[in-house]
Amino acid sequence: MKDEIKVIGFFCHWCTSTAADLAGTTRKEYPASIRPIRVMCTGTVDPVYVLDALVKGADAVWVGGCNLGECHYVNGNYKARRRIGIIKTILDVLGLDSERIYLTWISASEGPQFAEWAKRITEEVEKKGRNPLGDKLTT
Amino acid sequence: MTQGVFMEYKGKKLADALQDFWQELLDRGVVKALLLPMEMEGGLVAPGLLTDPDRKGESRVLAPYMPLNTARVLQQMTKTMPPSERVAAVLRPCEARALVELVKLKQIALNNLTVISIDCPGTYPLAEYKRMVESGEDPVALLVDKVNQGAEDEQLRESCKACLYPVAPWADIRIGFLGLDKERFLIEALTQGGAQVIRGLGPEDRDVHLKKREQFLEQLQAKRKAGEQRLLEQQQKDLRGPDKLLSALSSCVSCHNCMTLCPICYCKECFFNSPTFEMEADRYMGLAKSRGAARMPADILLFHITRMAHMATSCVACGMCEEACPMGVPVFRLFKAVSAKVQALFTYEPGMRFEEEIPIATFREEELEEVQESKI
Repeated sequence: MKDEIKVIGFFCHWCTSTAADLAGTTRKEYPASIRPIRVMCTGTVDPVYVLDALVKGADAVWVGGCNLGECHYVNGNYKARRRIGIIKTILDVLGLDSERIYLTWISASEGPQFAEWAKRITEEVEKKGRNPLGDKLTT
Repeated sequence: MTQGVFMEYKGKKLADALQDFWQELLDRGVVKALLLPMEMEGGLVAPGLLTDPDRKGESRVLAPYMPLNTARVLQQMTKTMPPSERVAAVLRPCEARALVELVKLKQIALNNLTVISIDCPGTYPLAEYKRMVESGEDPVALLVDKVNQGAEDEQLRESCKACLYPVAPWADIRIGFLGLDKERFLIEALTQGGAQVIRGLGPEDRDVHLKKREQFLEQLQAKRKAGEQRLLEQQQKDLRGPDKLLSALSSCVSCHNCMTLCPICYCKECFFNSPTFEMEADRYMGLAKSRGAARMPADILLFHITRMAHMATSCVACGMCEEACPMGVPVFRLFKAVSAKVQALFTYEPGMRFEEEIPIATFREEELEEVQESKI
């Protein structure tokens, strides 16, 4: 259990969360490493939660929203993209691993794509190994 | 629109000539008060609100010491209600630039406010400034002479040695003395409001674009640019990667002074003072169990990188964060490196123009492809 990687997912209610449900109800298998958190829109995800997950030792954070142009709240996902852009830039400058953050656009009907991404992210992160921040004293 | 007046001050000191100018503004009633650096009890300098022209002698706008970013004071002053009489704030360029960001963030109201910016050759850390004052040196004359001769003072604050804006990009009125002869200084009106305030001071509409001043400022900027480059390289060499970063933050005691003194960090209630981060004992236990041992209190690294995520787009590099740190954490160096890259991402220069929206308040449909994964 201790060696299993953990990916914290922030999925928007209208698209990616629904796609995750669909993947389940259509019995698409995907790894148990994903810990989904439903949010109303990716635009509501404050950087602090993404960073908190990484600093506290999550091996990756996956933010999933509606396809661009299809946000339920018109443009929340565009704003989320700017925020993720800022976070990734900060991590790059500080020499922390920005590739542990994934941003995908998966619509409500794309259950298979959700399962596919869950597999791909898990594989990539397993290849990378555990998050080096996960066993530091300082959080 | 640039209207300008040269003020002669033969046989006087620049500091005295400026005090006369404040007196004139108050005497003529064009402003009822001036917010400017004043000498406090004990000799140090802090912002003061001056209404009596007879007390002009206590003003110290040239003192190369900056205890806090005055834009923060203006936020406090105007947030409940802007002044009903006209107030002029005399600001350093980094303060004027922070003001532009705070206006965009709807934290400062410009009603009845005249912004006067003044050239800034740099400021010293508290200890150095205190030493100069106590040993009877005249820090103003020393620094202005040094900079005007083209020399850089190694004792200046880190942020000042890397500052690209010794002259403010924006103000109602701009006061210049860098790169000018010793006998006169320059007053420029950059806005209609500014022009009204300086009307009648002297012959207007003169060509105030002095080749000598421009060349001087170009050279100074090149020097500062090199300073900035050195700082960025030093961060990449000494502070990059989990181990070096955590070792740089190891002396942090979570006092949050850097946040309190940051002019841009404006939230009434910070996330980190909110119940979100009040953890019950069992959550600390969980944190410790997940890694075997955990530093207490938690969230030191998280605090600093979250602050970067919230404010790097608007950081004007005034360096107050590092000046306020009692523990010697290189907060400014980290912030500068991060904000340089984040601002480049959006080709955004904070503090330059009111019209330009701050990057977190807007977006473009076609951008940042590299941030998102491609479709499968």
